[in-house]
Parts: sequence; C-alpha cells; structure tokens
Amino acid sequence: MLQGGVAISKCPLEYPAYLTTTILALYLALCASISVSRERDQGTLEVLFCGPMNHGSYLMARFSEQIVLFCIALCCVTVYFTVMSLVSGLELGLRFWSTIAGSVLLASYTSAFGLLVSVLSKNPRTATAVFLLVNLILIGIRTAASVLSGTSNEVLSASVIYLKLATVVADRALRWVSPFSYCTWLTDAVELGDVRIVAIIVAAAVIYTALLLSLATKALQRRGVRTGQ
Amino acid sequence: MTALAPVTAPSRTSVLCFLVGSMLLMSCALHYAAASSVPEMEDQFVYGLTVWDGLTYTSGLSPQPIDEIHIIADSDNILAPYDTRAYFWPITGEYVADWSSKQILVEGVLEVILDGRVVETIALETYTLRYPEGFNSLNVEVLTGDRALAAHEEYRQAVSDFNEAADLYRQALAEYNSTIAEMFRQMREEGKTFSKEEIPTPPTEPEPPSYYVQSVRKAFVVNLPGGQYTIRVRQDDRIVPGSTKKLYVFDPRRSGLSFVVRPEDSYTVALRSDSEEHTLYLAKDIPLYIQLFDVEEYSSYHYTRLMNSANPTAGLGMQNEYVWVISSPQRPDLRIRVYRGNRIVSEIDEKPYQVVQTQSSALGYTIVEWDPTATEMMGPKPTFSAFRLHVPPGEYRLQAVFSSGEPISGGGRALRGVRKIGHFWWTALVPLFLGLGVYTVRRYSIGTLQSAATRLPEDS
Repeated sequence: MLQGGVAISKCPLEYPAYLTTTILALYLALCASISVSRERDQGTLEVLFCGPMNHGSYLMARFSEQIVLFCIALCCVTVYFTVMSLVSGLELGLRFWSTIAGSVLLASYTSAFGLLVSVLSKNPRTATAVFLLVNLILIGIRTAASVLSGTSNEVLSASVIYLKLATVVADRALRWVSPFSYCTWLTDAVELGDVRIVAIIVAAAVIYTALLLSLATKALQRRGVRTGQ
Repeated sequence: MTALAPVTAPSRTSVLCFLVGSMLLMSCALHYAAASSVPEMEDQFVYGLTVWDGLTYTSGLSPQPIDEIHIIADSDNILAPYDTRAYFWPITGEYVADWSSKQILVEGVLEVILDGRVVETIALETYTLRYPEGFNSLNVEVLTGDRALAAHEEYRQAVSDFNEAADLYRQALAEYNSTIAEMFRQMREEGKTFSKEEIPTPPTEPEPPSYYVQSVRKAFVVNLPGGQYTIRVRQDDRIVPGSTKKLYVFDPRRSGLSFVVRPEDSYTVALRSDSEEHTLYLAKDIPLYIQLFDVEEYSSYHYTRLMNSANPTAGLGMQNEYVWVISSPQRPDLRIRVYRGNRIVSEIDEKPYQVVQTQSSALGYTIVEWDPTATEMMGPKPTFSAFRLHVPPGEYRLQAVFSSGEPISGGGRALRGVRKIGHFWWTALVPLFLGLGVYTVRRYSIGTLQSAATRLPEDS
C-alpha cells in the first residue's frame, strides 16, 4: 500500500506466490484424489495389474506424476513472477524463494493425502468430497488464524476474541500436521535463519508424505484393484 | 379503563398481566442500569506494577482474578504488594483499583519459584524512580535502598532551594517593580532624568530542578532471566492469599534498527521499517526524511499483556505474533550511507528541519533546514531532526553507520523505485487461454481419430 508515494514491504510477491502455489498443489492433489478411485471404477486398474506391477510402484508412479507436473508448473510460476519483478521493480526476496521451495513440500503432502483418500474411497465423488472437506477445514483454520491474529483485540468483541484464541490455538496445534500451517512456519524460520526448525519441518514433511504413501499402499493391497471390492 | 372497555374479561386479564409484567421488567432493567453504573468493589490483594516496557516504565495493576504477570527479562521491575479495593470497569474492559479508599502495603517476602523450587527470595525494598530529564521525559531510572533515599533527599533539597530562591526572586522583583514605578513617577512629575547606570537590572528568575524524583516507596524489585516462574508473598509461615501468580519473564527475539520514514508530502504520517528484510519502495521522485531508533522484537502476546496487565482479554489470540518495539530515543550518533551497487553515492548526516506553513490562506507547507540564527522567523526549536534523502529513481542500499564509518547491525535497507504494472493484468489470463488452446487441440485430435475409426469399417 503506497502512502505519499512510499511503501515499505517485506516481500510483496510472497502472498501472491503462496496463493498461486497453494491452488496449483490443491488442483493436482485433487486430480490425484480421484485418479485411483476412477481407474478402479472404470476397471482399468484391474487390467493394469495384470502386468508386472505392484501396488507400491503404481502409487509411487502416480505420486511422481503429480510432483513432476507440479514442478513444471512451478517453473512457469517462478518465471512469471521473476518477469513481473523485473518489470515492476518489486523485490522477490528470501520469503518468496522459501515459499516457492516450501510449496514442493505442500504439493507432496497434499498429493500423498489425495492418493490415500482416493484409495480408501468407493467412487471419485466421495474422494473429491472428503479431500476438499479436509483441506478446506485446514485452510479455513490457517486463514482465520492469520486474519484474526493480525487484528487488534481493541476492535473485537469478547466473543470474537475467544474465537480468535480458539483458531490460533487450533492453528498452533495443527502446525505439525497441516501443510498450510507448516509451510508458513517454514518461511518464517527461513527469514529468521533458524536452520534447526527448517530441517525439522522439511524432515517432518518428508516423513508425513512417506507415511501417507505407505498407508495408501497398504489400503490398496487390502481393498484390491477390482471394481466393487 | 376506557381503553379496556371493549375488551372481554379473559383478554382484559391478559392485558393487565402484560402491563404488570412490562412494569416489572422495566423496573428490573432500571435497577440493572443503576447497578451497572456503580461497580462492585472487592477487597483483595493486588500487585501494583511499575514495569520496564523496553523504552521507559509503565504503571499497571495485577488484580486477583488475573493470575499472570509478564515482564521483560534482565530489567528492574517493581511489584508492590497492596491490600486494596478493586473492581471491574466494563467500559474499558479492565480491572481498576480504588487506591484512595484503601492502600495498605502487605509486608512479607516475595518467593520466586522455578520448576517447583524456590530460586530467589526478594525482600521489600525502598525504591524510587528518577527522571533525569524531567517528569515528561521517557528517560527513567530505578534507584533502590540508600541511593533512592539520597536521590529523593537531594531532590527535596533542590526543590526547597528553588522555593527559597523563588521567594527571594519574588521579593526582588517586587522591589525592582516599585523602583521602576518610582523612577517613572519622578520622570513624569518632576521631570527627572536617569542615566543608564542608574536604571536597576531586573532580578534573574531561578530555574526549577530540571529532573524529578518520585517519593520513596517500598516494593519488591524483580530482575530475572527469561523463563516461566511462579511468585507468591510469604508472611512468616503462611502464603498471603491471592498472591500466587505465574510470572512470565520474556526476552526479545531479535533486535535491530528502525527506519521511520516520512515522505515530504505527508510528513506527519510516518512509515516504519523495523527489520532488514524490509524494502523501501518509491513510486514518486520525492525527498524522504528518515529517523533512526533502536528496536527490539517481542512476542505480541507477552508484550500486550505487559502493557495491559489489568485487562483479562489483552493479548489473547496473539500467541503466534511478534511486535517490534522502539527501545531508544532517536539515535543522533549515526549517519546513513547510500550505495548503488558497491559504490557509495552519498553519505547523509542528520539535520534539524522546520515545517513552515505557506504564507497564503491556502493549506500547505514546506520543509526547510532549521537555521539556529533565525529563531525569530523559524521558532525556538526545529520541528524534527532527520536524514533527508532525495535520490534519482533506481536501486539503492541504505546502510546506517557509526560516525567512525563502521556499519551498525540491522541497519541496512534496500531502496527501490517501483513502476505501476496495472496494465499487465492480461498476463494473468495467459494460462487460461493456453489451457483453452490445449483443450481445443486435444478435442480436435480426438475428434479426428474418432472419425478415422468410424470410417475404417466402410473402407475395409
């Protein structure tokens, strides 16, 4: 926001980059969430598993496809923002680059979660509904905590103050499991130069992804690849 | 009753019931309204607080219903244990003490507990606050024990000396005025003239003490490293009821140098850049006036609770936020070095400036360098002191340095000219059209394949 022709900002392109990468990651994860259940629904999964294919490699291939697609899209996004930065004079900054790097963790977590939901769901519609519901709750808590914590208590009524407290506590609790919360935390840690927290968050994100993928593999083995199983 | 005449007997009863009910409700509401304007006082133990806020001392209160106190680590903080009358004032949403009706110091020692173990026992101590540059100054120091007594005695003596000097001055002034009046009378009535040497010089008005020392009181002076403690007041072998509280002692997360930026055309509305990650964007070719202050970054939750200790909802929901707090008066000992790439393009010194209103009836002002020799025209004091920065559009780096040239930690900022990019809005639609293009091509390809497939049996 310019005031008297002057503006002071930490990283004006961080929020647009966060929004863009979040939409991208969610879109690709949504595709992942319907992929397995749709293939099972259409019977193509059964045909596919007639060949030398195991459950783990199938899901890894699906996951890799999403991540590769995300990385391609991320390259386009980075080029776009770099051009905009050069044209406008707005600095990209450390927070922008950490948001871009952190979005890969976001995409991997949401894609793995999408695959798990897809494996567990009976049909693509259920998978979509469950995936969107869970992610919208997580995004809602993050957004509410972000908006409300930036608002002074002096302008809020007592009931809203306690709502604010509840969302902030929920956001703090979800910091370790919600990718939307820990990616923001990662950006803050990078800004502060807190290498330990950065390492913990990256490790946690990798572990979550691996855990979700192994759960999806187990679930696929149990449910099988035939329609109606 | 005329109004009730057309109403039948059962409905008349209902109307009467309604009227009686309404009157009861109204009387209840009136009673509530009357009661709500007189708060309910309660005798209770409170801690009167005089806490360090990073820049100066702030007064507060920790009433019994609020079980936590927040103070900054490694600073002297005053916790005065009082038995008083306190009440909740809903208009400001905080507890208030009625000191004038009851204020009894509770004797005892303050026990500081960490991990269930008493780590420090603090006795009541005489203390005072000394304001070396006057009561309205932010510069305050806590003096304890004999130093407090000596400082207060010295101040009391200085005030007494001033009062004596003021009495003498008033007498001398009265004598002077009567002498002058007599000389005027002689000039007027007797035509007498006086030489320059005969005219008496007026007495010099004595200066009051430039500093202030508060009266000496007793309290616990608490200075602890960061951590979460429990405190309580012990009287012999019993704990004073209501004195047990959590004591949060917090450290700053980071410290740095704040750039307070005043654009020339809106100098009263300053922008603040507190951390080195900030970039200053300039959309116009205008001079900037920059002031430098030391800053420290604290947890918003702890700091808000420190500043509003008697407000039960203060700081709630701010646990994840941080706030930069100015921790020094304006730094006069620094310079700003302006870099373009690796080349120093200028080095600016802080100067005093005066805001001069335009001479005509139209609104407006200009900012000019204050001239100490033209105080009649410009006023006795400058409006503000700042670094004036006016650079052509481009990309710069500002670095605050000591007069020796050594850069100060946290004192760097990027300065960039920014261009409007509103006319590039259409670029956001590129992916959409690209997607539509891919979709159309794919549909066309599938359509071609399908038609080829349907033609195949006819040919064969």
